[in-house]
Amino acid sequence: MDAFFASVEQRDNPDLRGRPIVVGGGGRRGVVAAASYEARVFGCRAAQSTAEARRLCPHVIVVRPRMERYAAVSRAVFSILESVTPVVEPLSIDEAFLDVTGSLALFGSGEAMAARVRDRIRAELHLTASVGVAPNKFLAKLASDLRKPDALVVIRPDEVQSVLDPLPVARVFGVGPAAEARLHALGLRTLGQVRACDPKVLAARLGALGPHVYELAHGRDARPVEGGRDARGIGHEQTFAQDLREPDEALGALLDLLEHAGRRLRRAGLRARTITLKLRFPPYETITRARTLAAPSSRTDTLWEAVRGLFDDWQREDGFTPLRLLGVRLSRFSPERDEQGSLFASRDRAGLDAAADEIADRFGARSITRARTLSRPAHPRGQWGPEA
Amino acid sequence: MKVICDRGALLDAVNQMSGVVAGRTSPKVQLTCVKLVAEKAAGAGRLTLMGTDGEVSLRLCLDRVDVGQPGEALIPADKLRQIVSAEDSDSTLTIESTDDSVEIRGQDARFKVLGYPAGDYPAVPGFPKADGAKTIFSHQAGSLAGLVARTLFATARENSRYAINGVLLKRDGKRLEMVATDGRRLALARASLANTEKDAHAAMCIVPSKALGTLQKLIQDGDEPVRIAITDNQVFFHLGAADEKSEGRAMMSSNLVEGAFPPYEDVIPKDQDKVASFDRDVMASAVRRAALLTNEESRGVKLSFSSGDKRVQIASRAPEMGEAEITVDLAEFKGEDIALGFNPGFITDALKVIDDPRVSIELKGSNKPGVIKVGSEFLYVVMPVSLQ
Repeated sequence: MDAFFASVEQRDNPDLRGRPIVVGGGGRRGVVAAASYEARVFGCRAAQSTAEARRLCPHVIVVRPRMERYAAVSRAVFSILESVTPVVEPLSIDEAFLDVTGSLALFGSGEAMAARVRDRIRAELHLTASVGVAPNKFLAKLASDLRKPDALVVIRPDEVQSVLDPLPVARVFGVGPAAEARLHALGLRTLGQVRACDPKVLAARLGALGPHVYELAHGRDARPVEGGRDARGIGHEQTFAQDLREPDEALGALLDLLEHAGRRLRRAGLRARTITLKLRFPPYETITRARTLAAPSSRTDTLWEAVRGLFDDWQREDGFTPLRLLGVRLSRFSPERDEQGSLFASRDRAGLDAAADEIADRFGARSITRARTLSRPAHPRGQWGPEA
Repeated sequence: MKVICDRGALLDAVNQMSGVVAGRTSPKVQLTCVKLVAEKAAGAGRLTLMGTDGEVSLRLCLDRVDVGQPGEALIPADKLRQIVSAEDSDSTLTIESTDDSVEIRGQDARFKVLGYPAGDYPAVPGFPKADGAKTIFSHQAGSLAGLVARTLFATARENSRYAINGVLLKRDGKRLEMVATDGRRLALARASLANTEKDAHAAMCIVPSKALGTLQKLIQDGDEPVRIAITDNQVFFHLGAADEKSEGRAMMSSNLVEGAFPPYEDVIPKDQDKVASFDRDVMASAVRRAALLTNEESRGVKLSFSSGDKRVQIASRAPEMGEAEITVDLAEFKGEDIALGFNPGFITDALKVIDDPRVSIELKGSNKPGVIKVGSEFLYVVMPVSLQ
């Protein structure tokens, strides 16, 4: 999606259309989550501090993020994507990879499917999306970024080298400033130069990154699109403007994250066996703890028991310390369709998730929630959304 | 220390020890060892072997030994086992220790194994005195092994909010009970204590699965008496001696599983209105054959009981693979027709441990638990699977 959060705000509020806006927190640690294309002209970008955005563009309008809104729109976008293929791998709240190999017979070419998806997003959601169509993930992502916004770019197999060769080496994911400097030192500034280079030299100078860059310079990327039933995990995480100092706040926030993750799990028709808890202590120390269930489950209550157990174990073993980030992740999906009954589960709750999901789908993600989530902090920073 | 022992008896003992001591990757190297103690009393020699992983401890006594010089030694358990097992042409082996090594000699062989100072070995607790235990009682080894066999298989392998990765051991007056569950099925086995002792205190504890697996291997003679003691945090099994003075043949102790066992009595159904009885082996074979056409998407088999022709049809269906149907004649059926799904392994697990060739299952509804009963000594509650 093009400048997703900013575009949703401009779509919802005509006063913001055509004006430079950034979506982000206004507080001490306020960070730009998205900048409209009008603001990008002034150099405003995501991940800047809002103070910096204001300095670059004094008349920029700072809009508070409305995560529920974006999540609802995201769901609508994903259901359009899922109308062309079940193999959708979310990269974030507004980006995804689609493997359309299995849908070619039904819808024609990849290009035709991309056009169809873009048309529906424009007509039904009044938003624009940039789509790249290519033989693999690396090239598709590259193509989608080439002519943003509102573009459809197709890289055909015979065009790969002519598209890649002139690009600067920094366009390859994994190449940061340090690797870029080392490539420059070898006289390699474009992917075409990398392609012509001896792979042994690359491996010697860049280590494990060498073969990776060499392969991608040739447009080769074997990673499969991991979507639908094969998806690796569904996770949500959230960074807080103020570190959480109370276990209750943290539990409220965790349950909120889990309710959203559980809803996505059920929407995908999946059950998860493994539940992972992620905790970050200021400034960056991060731990993860995981628990595996006896039988895969999609019930929020069952999953919560595991999250709660992991959190309690951490508290008991390490003692509670302030938290900056919380995350919940569901993985090891089971295709099992039969539901094994449980001896000690509360039996009257089988329909609870289904009913709550229906209400949330109709009235918004937080229209119904377990009371404990109300103890989460009122003003989170950052976003929850499918993790990158 | 110098001792000559019968190789067969030593091999048995060393094999038992290998199952108890800590794995080779343990950070506590002493716990990967077996401690040998040679003693001489009233002309008779005795070799005691001790092993522990810090949770479960085992002490075995060998009488068929000739003690040349009393003393102690600590030797890595895996090397000891490999050597004693490989020296298969010797009827006796000589073990002699110096300060820092242990020598094992056969007719044509000499092994010098570097050991550790025996003084560093943790103390293995002794069998408690009457005033140090919540309860002490005796039971026949064969019956005890039966209780373990009929419950141990049903323990949970995963963590859960309940302490179910062990077996509940409960002594109440003359009744001895063991209970295990993994949250989806529950096995309960009972026996009567033969000698009513004056001390009839009710006491219960949760014994780790590893300890009971070790106990099963220790029991060789069904008539041998086993003394059992439960303390606040440990359980003791003393084999081969009925009085406090004798060291006996073997003594195993284990830390208890901490936490709460689920309220298992509440989930034992009392108002089942359908009863089917059948031949144990015929049913086990039928369920196993039907399970041939289950797969990871559909693990359950469907049991359809019909009163008209006194039969049960066992059916499976695996998407994109096929289906199976096996028909079993019932010896008896009371109640209305009923069809319900079960995990086939949960049925065969129970049939495997039942001695009686005629078995009955009591049912209530397709989403209610089934109960397999053998007299009052075995009860198995299994939750159904709701088939899609």
